[in-house]
Amino acid sequence: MTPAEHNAARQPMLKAFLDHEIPPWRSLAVRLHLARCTSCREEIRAMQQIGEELRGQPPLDPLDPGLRSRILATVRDMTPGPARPVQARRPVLIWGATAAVLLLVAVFAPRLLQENSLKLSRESDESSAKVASGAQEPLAGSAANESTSLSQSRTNDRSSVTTPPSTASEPQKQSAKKDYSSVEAPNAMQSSTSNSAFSNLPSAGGLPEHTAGARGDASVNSSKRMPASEASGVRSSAAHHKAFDGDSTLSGPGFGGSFGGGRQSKLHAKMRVGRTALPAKQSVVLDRAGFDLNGYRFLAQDGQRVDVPFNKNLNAVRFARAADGKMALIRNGASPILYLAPADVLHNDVVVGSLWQPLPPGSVATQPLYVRPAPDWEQFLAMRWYPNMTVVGGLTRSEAAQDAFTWLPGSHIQIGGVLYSDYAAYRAYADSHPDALRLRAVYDNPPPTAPAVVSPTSRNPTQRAVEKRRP
Amino acid sequence: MRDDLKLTRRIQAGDPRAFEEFLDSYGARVQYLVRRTVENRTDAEDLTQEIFVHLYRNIGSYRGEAALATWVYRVALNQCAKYAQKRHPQNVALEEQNEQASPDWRSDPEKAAVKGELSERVHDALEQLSPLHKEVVVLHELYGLTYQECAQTLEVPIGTVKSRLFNAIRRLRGSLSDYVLGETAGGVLRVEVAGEKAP
Repeated sequence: MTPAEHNAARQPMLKAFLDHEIPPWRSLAVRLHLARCTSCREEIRAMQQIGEELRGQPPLDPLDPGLRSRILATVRDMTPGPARPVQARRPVLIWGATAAVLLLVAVFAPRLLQENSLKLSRESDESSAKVASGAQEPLAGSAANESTSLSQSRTNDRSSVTTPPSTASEPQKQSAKKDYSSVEAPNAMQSSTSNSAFSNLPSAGGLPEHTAGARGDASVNSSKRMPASEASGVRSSAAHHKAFDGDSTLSGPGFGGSFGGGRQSKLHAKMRVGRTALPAKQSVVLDRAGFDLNGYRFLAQDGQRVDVPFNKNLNAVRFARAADGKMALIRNGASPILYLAPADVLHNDVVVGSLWQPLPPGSVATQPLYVRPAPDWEQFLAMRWYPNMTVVGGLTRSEAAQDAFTWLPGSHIQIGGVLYSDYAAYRAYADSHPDALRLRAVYDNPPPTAPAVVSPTSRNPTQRAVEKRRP
Repeated sequence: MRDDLKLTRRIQAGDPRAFEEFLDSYGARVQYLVRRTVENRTDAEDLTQEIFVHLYRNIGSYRGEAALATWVYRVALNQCAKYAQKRHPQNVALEEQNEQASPDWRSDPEKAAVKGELSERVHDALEQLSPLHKEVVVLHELYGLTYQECAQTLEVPIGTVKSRLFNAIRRLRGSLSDYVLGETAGGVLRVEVAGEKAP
């Protein structure tokens, strides 16, 4: 072998060997070769030296600050690109095919079961004592059970549309029955109702409570006190739903199948393309909460994005303290409830650095509260937000005195190091320091009349599943 | 990769801070990649801006199947290639056999501004490499991408990455022949400053 042939055959492998990018058996071969080849040893040492020189270079210059500012300014008014639709088609096709199969099953299965039952019945009638009735009974029983199950599930499906949840003792069943696509987030019309429901009754923690919320959210509170055994049941149910992912023989709701609430919701979430109604009574664990002029935008841990538009209504969301320390959103009653840990804040996504902490750190809001950073929508629009501003707590309104707004205990507005203990003091400062921004729209929120929605941000259907969890 | 996906989802959700994080993570490296390709500094800044706008608009196409860095560099290099195609259409089809050093690279005054990013001698040697060799050296040696990630970024087979990298390092060795000495009697390879005598 000439030196040139030697180099061509061996040396490209040397760099990969040096970078640990070859399999062990090849690595061993290279080592054996290096043991007896001086030129390759020289080559590999030179390469090692050059690699070290390259990697030992000083760090790169940071991005030019002027360029950085220009890039940020350019994208500020842009909408980040959504997932490519071409990838979204695959799950749709898969689920479409699955749905078609299940439609066939739904159409023909009862007939087959019926025929089977009749056949078994005939055989039972005609059989003598010698016939293995023990083998038939389970079959007949199974068929009957399946028929009963199917029939019951259809009854449940019908009742899900007409029967609103009324008791707190069966939250999970209600979730299964609830037709969540029919429930909307509060709009401007509901706002008056919501406002009238404000209460200033002191709670055990000294906080005003929302009496209507207390009634409406009894099931939520009962679920918080759910015994461990029941909670584990929810988890195992979720595990079952995960296993269900690979089952191509089931379909989504509306195809005659019998599904549990979680499964139905998950399928529903998968099969909807685009915006989807926020499933009722299923909490979505959040990574981040923000707001702009259009409304709230929540980013769920599983990748979903949940938009709750204001619709010029500051009561779009209620706030409560998370028992488990996790920020989560749940739709239960007139408006979604945002469960917050003591340190959780909402980011003002118009003015970076300004925050709103609806529940002051010391508050123990066991009941959901309507909290607003300004007394009304107009004043909310007029608010100026500073990059170093944090609104802690906010105003809530007494049901008895409609026009009276009261600050939650511990509420204040902090700008820089200065605390403003009430809204008037803050406004006095803001009026004399107009060098701050008002809210504007930065989200591509839905139209004002749209319900609370979930917009899947991932094309992966398994990541769209809403975690069934009760905070 | 989970964190990468998380970050891109936050960007997709309109979180401005997330994009700032993204920009701060990759801005310098993309800027460096662009400066390797684009001669004029103003053009380089414009192209860097275009790349990040492109990344922002297409953030949804990142699916987390590979490292975010791989995706970012691939987009950046594609944009650089498009730029080069516009400026020098005759250089579009660069084949492996044409990977020869461009003699005029070192004479460009714009390069002087970039020299502070690498020590001068290595920088000069790097500048003598062809674009394809330079890309793979930057991605692997400077940015720490694996061969697999380099292959994904450059959209070439791993074997091509291996051969390009090996050839690039050999060329670097040739360029640094004044500094890199061969095996000594003691078997120790040394890198010395030009002008000094080897023992």
